[in-house]
Amino acid sequence: MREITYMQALQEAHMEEMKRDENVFLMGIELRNMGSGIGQTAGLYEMFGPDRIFDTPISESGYVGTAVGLALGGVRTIVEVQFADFLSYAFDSIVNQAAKIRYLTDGKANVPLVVRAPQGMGFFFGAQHSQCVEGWFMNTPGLKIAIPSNAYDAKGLLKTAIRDDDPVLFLEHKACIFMKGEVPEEEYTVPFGQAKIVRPGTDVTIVAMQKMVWDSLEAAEELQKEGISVEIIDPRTLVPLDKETIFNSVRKTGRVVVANEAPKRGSISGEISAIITENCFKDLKAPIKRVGAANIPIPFGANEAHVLPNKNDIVAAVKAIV
Amino acid sequence: MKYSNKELLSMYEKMVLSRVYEESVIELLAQGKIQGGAWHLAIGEEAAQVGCLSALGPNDFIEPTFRCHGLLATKMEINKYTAECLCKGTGNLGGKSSIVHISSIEEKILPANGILGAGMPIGVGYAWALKKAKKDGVVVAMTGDGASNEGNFYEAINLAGITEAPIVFFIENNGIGFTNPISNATKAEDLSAKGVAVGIPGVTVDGNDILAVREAVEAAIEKAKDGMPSIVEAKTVRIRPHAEGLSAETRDPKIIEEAKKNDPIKRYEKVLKDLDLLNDDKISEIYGNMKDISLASFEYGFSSPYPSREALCDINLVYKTLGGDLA
Repeated sequence: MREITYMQALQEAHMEEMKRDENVFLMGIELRNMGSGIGQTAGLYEMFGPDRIFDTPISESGYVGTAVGLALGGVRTIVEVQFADFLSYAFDSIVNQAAKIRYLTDGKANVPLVVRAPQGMGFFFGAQHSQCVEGWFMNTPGLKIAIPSNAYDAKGLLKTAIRDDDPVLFLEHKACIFMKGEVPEEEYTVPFGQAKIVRPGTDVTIVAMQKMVWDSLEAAEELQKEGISVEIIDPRTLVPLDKETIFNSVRKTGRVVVANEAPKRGSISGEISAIITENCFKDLKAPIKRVGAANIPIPFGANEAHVLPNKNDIVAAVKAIV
Repeated sequence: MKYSNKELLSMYEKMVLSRVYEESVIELLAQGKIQGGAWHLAIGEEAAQVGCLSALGPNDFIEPTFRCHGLLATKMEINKYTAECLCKGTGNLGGKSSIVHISSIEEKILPANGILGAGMPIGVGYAWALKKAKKDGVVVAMTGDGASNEGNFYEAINLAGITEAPIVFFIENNGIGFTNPISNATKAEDLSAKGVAVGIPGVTVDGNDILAVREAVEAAIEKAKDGMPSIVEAKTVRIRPHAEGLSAETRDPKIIEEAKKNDPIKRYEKVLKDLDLLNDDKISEIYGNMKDISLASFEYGFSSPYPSREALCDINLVYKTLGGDLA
């Protein structure tokens, strides 16, 4: 099968969905000249023009709010925020507006909106351009959250997100975005709420997200040499969360590591651990271990390595419970 | 006169309904029949509000604030509206939104917002969507003077300018935010001048002159349809405290007394009397009718049940596309 990068996969998903549905509209900063912050929509402005793609001013709160209004008015809108860290400016538009409109209108209205933003490490840009922000949003009913780790899922999940009638926060990952992966030429989508068993194993379950999936695969290779068999599960979407796939794995292994790149305090790894404890307590043979960043802002440049989690942290966490 | 006699009287009736509806709220609160907290009354601001709403054509949308209790009673099916204000299951939104998050898309009322300023960019987006769909309508987005200090207000007027969205920003400047006088909140004299910063026009009118307000908003709607959004500021005075039962009056009583002398309803009565459209008997009759309509709507609300837990926790009302574990 052909291999393309995660970013090319995103570009294809936009292109295919904009061709498929004339009502799909794309807006964000630097879409025309730069093809998005990193290049996720390269070439699309030439293809679809100003009626379908709108370059916004630097105005995240206002333009994401405008995107909410467009979606409320029936325009299937994709809005890009250049770095997920800037979602703080757009937080109200997503959390208090987009996510609540359907409920507050008694189901009479809905908001077909995708908010796309790249998050996480990878660019060495420090505290305000490197964070993983899913935990800021998971406490919000009305929102869906997709977190692809690879090219195949990035394309399939984005297509699902665009077709979804509810607001979806689609968090790309900067350390994964230049990675290549197998992506079929033919049409496909990846449904929300279906986790993927990335690697089967029998001794320990690692629930890993985005770059942590790749670090977990490396850790698993290393641990295999010591006779420890690791099963890796990538949830792919956090809302909805595929609990059953996680539970089935935990029932088999009895040992769990949850690996998430955000600071450990208040991270969604706590939520996933709690769900497992509530449902699989009797199956657990050891305490659940969490891998995450230090509770420290991310320092600039290569210094980030002292704060962010890596393969070695995952290996250590697994060894601590087997 | 630009407007027909019927239209002129209809505007008067709406002002009276708005006033009487809100006076009913005060009475019912005093009687302990309803609870305080979210009743943000606009008594004294009827010319600004009804003048603004009257300017809308049949395809135009209003985005109200939560200080539009009486105004929305003139626009919506009143029994369902009052039931919604009382959080009852028979409310038009099943009791989930009350006044603070009220909307009625089918009656061309976009969601009011509990987050001040947040509705402004949403209004821009909705107006832009109307334009994209080649619909004739505009959005008239209401805000107070207080919320016009929000960053979202500035971002919204800027985005409206560059998108040429058919929208009018209507600032109901009642001179006070909660208990904070406007002089403490901004150096700006005329809030319509905020448009200068982003290259859109603005006009300030006497907000207690209903005809001046209506004409200004009508002109702004015409501009909006031609791709030029603008600001209309109506200067008025809030007579009541910020919210009934929530906050005491902290202003100098003279301010309130002066404002009452400039009562917008009394002013408009004089206009209509001069045109021989109104006399004291007719005025009493209108007040009586509006009181009956208001109280009947509250009776409807009181006799209605609260929504069930099942109705309030229906996941279909949170998400439209189901699939996966969303509850």
